[in-house]
Amino acid sequence: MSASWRRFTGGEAGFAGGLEGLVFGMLVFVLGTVLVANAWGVVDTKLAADAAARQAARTFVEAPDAAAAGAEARRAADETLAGYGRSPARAAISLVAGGFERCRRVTVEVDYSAPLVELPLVGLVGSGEKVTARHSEIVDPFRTALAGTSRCP
Amino acid sequence: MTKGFPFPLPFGRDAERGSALVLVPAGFLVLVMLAAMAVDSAVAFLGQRQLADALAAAANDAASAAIADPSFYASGAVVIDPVRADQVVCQTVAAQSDGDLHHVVLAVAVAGAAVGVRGDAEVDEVFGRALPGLHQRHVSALAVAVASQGPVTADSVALDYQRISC
Repeated sequence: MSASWRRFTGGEAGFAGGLEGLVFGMLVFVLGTVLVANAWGVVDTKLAADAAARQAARTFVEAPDAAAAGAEARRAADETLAGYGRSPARAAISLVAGGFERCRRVTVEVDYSAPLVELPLVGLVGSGEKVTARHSEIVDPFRTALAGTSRCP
Repeated sequence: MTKGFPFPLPFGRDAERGSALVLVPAGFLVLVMLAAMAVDSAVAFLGQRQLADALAAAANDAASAAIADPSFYASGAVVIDPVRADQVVCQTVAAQSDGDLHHVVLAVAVAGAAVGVRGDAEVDEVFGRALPGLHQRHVSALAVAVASQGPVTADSVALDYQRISC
């Protein structure tokens, strides 16, 4: 091969890095992106679940009566999850402790399966780690519409 | 061109041709590291929100469950009992089960019907923990609640925070 032809085609000068450099770079990029996207999906889901649990617990203790407390808390959690772009149908919302009584501590738990990855234009893909969030509050001892004394233990 | 070599050695601009290939993995690595830093910042934000939510709930609970009964039932005056406020704050923060928050330090201030809760905590980083000295981030939050039968503003309440141990 003549020097002029080598110069014309660009040659292989400076190719010491080798083609494996490009392959390794792509590997780092793809694996790193998937890892970061997955971590981001979990963190974002945790934010949504935390907010949903907080709203549910707050709505529960501020409800007008015991009959409405559970339904209103669930609706508040669903609306919060929807506001974060999550499907309420995939969430499990439960009252893990307490009841609608003066001074009772109420704890609401929200479970949600975080997406495997969250991709731009595609959205949430797959189902990965289950994320759990809890929030706890006390029913106001001096509120109306409840029987009993207001003394907290 | 160097004499003695069986092929022509490049020089000048030709000598650097193809060297950009070596920079590709390094460039990708930098991009991934930047993304990891963004995730760690989001984790710190999440921890700060968890702490703020816990303190807001604690202040709310203390403003209702820690009202001093003697003064309320004797004269109708709404006054927070500082000792009960500390207990309620500790119970509420513990009940949140925020396992992501470490070394939580709480300070409570009570002034009349107002109760303020200030908190500091450490949050584990996801990717930063691989680096020495960067495995945790400090977060802090503040919440004030005022027990009242009408609208009030907490801005005018002067609070002196005292550190508590739960």
